[in-house]
Amino acid sequence: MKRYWLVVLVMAVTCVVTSCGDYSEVEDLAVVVGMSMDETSNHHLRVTCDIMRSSESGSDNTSANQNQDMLVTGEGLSMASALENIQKKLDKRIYLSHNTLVVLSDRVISDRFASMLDELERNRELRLNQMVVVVRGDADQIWTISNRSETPLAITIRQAIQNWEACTDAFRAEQFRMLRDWNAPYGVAHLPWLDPQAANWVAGLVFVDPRGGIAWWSICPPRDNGALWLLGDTRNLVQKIVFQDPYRGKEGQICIRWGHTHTTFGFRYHKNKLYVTVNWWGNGYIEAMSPGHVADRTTFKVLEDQAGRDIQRDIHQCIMRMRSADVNLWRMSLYRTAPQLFRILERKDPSWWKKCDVSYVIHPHIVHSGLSTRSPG
Amino acid sequence: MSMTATEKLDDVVTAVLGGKAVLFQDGLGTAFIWDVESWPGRQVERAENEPTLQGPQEAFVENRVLNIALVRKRLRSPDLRILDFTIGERTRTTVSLVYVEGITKPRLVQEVCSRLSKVCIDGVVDMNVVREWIADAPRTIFPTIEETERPERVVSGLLQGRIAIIVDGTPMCMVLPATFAQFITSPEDYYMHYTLALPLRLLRHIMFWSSVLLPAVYVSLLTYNQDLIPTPLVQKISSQRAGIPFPTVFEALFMMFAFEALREAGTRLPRAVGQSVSIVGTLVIGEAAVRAGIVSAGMIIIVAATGIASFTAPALGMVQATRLLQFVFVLCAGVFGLYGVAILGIVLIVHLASIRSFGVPYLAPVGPTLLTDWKDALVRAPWWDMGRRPQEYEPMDRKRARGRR
Repeated sequence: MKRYWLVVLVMAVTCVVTSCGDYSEVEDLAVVVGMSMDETSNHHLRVTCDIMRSSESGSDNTSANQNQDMLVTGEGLSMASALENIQKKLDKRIYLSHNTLVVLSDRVISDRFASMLDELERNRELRLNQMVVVVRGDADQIWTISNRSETPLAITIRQAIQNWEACTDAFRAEQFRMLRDWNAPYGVAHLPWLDPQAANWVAGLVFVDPRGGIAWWSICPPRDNGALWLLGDTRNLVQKIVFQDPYRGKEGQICIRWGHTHTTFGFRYHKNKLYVTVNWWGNGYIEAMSPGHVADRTTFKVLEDQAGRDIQRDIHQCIMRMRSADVNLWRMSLYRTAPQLFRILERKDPSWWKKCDVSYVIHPHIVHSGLSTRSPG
Repeated sequence: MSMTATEKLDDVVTAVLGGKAVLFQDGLGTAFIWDVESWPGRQVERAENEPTLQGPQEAFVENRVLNIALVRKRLRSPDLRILDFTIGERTRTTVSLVYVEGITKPRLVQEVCSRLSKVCIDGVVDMNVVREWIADAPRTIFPTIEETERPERVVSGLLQGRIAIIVDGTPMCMVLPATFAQFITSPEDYYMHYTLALPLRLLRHIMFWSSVLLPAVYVSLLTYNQDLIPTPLVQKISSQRAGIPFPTVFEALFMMFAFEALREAGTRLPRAVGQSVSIVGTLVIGEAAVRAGIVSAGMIIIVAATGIASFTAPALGMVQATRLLQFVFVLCAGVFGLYGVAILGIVLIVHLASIRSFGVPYLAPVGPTLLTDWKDALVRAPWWDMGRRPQEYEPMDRKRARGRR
């Protein structure tokens, strides 16, 4: 008899421990696929949820912009309280596990970025692979985008952003995880900058300091690649170069597709001064070239020299812009490379990153075409 | 026509009751028994329960002597041994134990003889009576003795060092010991090129576990672990489920019961009517149930897929086991979610590992690991690479042939 009671006890304990109270039917869930967060004038957080619409979804307290989306807004002191208020408007349980997009306004970033990240990370329903993006002005204006696809708007936007993955890791799907790494303990987050008026909705990148510093960097390939190169590895970036033909003395134009580029930072501390070296290495091929040029060793040398100068200029401009926007780009790199030195510098002069000397080592390697591996010579 | 001599009156009575002729000679204390019996019965026909596209098509019939002849026709070895037992106080059914001397382990023969001699019952109406008396793990739902109606499968088992039991009046034969892998093996695996047999056997393994787990995993995903469903699919399933009055777990149980009822009806009814019932059940009732909003289309797909998956198991005993297990897993999924399914899965594997069939571990050659036997368990190696008999049955003679090897 004791044995049977033991079995009953084990079953009961298992029932409780495995939280069978979590039981909920899939049709009773309001599946959130996107969220936008704004700060109101009274310092409240306004959260708008993009809820995936099933055939029977709908409520008097909600508004629907498209067939697949249902937008519900709530305000509160924190994200949790705002979500609680949204829940009151719905007859289904809010389900955040399928959330793919978090849209933050610049004001939220400036005022409560760290606490917002903390809330996003602590919420046990939220996945770590959601994409965090920034909008200048009101974040909920993102939901005004006309959605012609059959998927919910948040998913459509995310797919548009992910198309940029071909260019740089900055847009990769595991962004929230990366963002967390960059912010702990010292780092700079780079987030996609969305503009509902832009053609592909992606306007550029935003560099965010944990203290709330923001640097906006519009990206318009193939001219403005400096920010992407500073972020590390890139793939398939296109760069246009104007060069001086060594034989004809005239200007020529060339379009290079950088198959793979790699950027690292080197730090050297000498006589109480920090020296930073930006090492750039890239492998590309000529995608298009103005006619009449002789593609020989001399021309390729000129091309590589010109490409190196342009790359150095782009990176330098980006660094200067970061400095002017009070965004410390090397915080994480130095901390990971030499934590002792980092602490000394932070103690002695917190603005060390504005004063350090920067040198560049640029190694562009250009080949004839995608099928070649060597330059002429 | 064979003749035997006996001095026991009991043997004479049994022989006369068995339709044999007995010759007494005045002044001689010995009676001569002549096998002149001729029982009404079927002739050898095509295998109905284990059909194959390739290979032999003959199947056992109810006549034991004919069945032994079918085996002997394929195994013309002087080492083939047949031991007869009379079981059933009233029916006096003859049960023949068949093995190959020099291959089968003598202790195994002794053990089976011992168990057969302990069978104490008034009548043996079917082979199952004997099977339940001698089988290991009597409370498990998994079969521990292989059943077949194909003589060549019995011969294959005998050459592996196993024992066959033929019961008079039953068109099937028992082969023992049996392991889990044996029940996923189809005779057709050996009739086609091994490169083609390999994926089919792997498919059957996958289908077996699918038939056990698919409805349970579906129920868990829809009721507890919605985060594991791809986002676009959540939307579709949610739309399908909207308006369904029953919880997912009851919907699944309802559909599974309906499916089992249709299957049972199809089996019991005459073949022509049975097929009609199946078609009406699957097409008409399924469609009507979805239209009426009683069940969702996704659940119909899952239950149908589970049914198809369960039919890929060649052994009927294993199919019946999966039918029962499905319900247990779905109930567990409805209460505990994927966690419960995982725990029950572990319990199931532990249970399988604890079963023995006449001393042979049920999960052999996977547990215990006998790598050489994997050639004919999870996969099917080419015949030229299977020079040795399976180690799990501990045959006396490991080598299959001594020719060029």
